[in-house]
Amino acid sequence: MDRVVMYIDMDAYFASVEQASRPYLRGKPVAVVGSGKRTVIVASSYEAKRFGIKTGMTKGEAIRKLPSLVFVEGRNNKYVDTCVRIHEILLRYTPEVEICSIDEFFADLTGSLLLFPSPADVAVAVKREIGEQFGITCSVGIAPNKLVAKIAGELGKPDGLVAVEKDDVERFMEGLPVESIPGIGRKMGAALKALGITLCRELRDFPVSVLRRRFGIWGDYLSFMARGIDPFRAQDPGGLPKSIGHSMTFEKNIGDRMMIRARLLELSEMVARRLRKEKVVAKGFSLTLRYPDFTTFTKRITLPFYAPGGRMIYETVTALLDSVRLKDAVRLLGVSAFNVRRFAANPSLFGGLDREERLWRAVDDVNDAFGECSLHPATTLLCARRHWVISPAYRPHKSYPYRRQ
Amino acid sequence: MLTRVGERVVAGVVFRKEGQKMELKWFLWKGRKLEIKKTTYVWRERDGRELIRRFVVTDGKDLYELSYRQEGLMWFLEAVETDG
Ligand SMILES: [Mg+2]
Repeated sequence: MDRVVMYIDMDAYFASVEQASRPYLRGKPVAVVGSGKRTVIVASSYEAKRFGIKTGMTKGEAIRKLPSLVFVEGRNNKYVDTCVRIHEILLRYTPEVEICSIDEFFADLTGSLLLFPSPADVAVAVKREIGEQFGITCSVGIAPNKLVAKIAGELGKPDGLVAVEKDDVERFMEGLPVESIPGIGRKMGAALKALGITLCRELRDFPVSVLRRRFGIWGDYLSFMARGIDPFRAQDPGGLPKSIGHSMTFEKNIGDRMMIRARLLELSEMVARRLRKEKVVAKGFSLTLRYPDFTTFTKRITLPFYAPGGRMIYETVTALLDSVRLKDAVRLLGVSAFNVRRFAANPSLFGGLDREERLWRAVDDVNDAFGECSLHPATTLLCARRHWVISPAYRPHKSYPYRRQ
Repeated sequence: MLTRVGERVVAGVVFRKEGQKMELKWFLWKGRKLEIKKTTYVWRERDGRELIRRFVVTDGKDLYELSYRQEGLMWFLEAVETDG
């Protein structure tokens, strides 16, 4: 049986949820921001996007662009719970649902088509259910693989439904700009343009050998993707994350090194927890600092071994911090891990995981059951509880508490 | 305008679908009974062990955020939002 994949992506997710909750915001340009004074825009409604309001803009920039813009504070729990419930809806159509970010899902419908007349029927039903339950819209792409499903979904935004049959894939891809391929950003787009390639058709017809010489293995991938073939299909579907990081912007600049260290401990633990969730370990770590004048720099280090946990990450990034002469207080700190590989439980000499590893597993279990940050290192108490809006890349953990009992 | 309230209130609720769905009908606040015209959004949160259900409702004029704490069976009016 031919494979059928459905990609579902909520339209302007956080902003739509806020417009659904507050009817008076419907039809108005809305930007969702964090609760601090210095927060940036994390999502904007279509009405705002039309005026060039983009994710990552500061409030000031956005107001200058569009004085009528309405700001609303993001509510993480609301978006996470909605994501969990959308996941539940999808699971009624197929057990094979992959959450790829807080508002994007892949559902493999291959096995469900004996129960439903057509993939488009499933899509229409899902769209209707999401609309009725949450008052938000989503865009759906249906195709023989994830790559084309995602491209089709993006193409139909907002509130679209685009289905591409197996035999139409190549024709569907032909006329699209190369940037519609996920993973081809501005930089890659420019590099391709230098070769005279702007459309998928041109990329497809370009000699692979030249692409390979220019981009390495990516040259082969590009050539496949231009044809609508998903080169990552054969790989581990989850894939390894390239890097895992967290950053925070502070209400007040922090000049005190002890406070910076406390924040770094907090960030290191957040990164370590994500690494554990993804079941990977890393040996590269970076520290990012941003000064009040927005100059930003990142220091990186690659360790000769894979660091087992948050403490090691913390020690590594504080060592990076110590090697820096701070020229001012900082407004943003970031910690990330790169150079990752799958974690294979390394039985220690006396069997089982080592003490620290076991401790953190237990902490993770507590936090899974009782909510994020129920249990955390005491040093992080130095940090006033902050509220930041969740990253769109966030994925609720499988054993999310609502599904426990 | 959003005003935080954080007061305990008495509420009238209809349970549907074997407790899967709660429909808020009215609540008493400041000696007034506010009839709810529509629930605009519902979500769940965790506070430690406790499950909190949050509701955004409207009486046709203003928006109210209420929360229901499963453990003590208590309703709170969290915030009132008036347009403009
Ligand atoms: Mg989206």
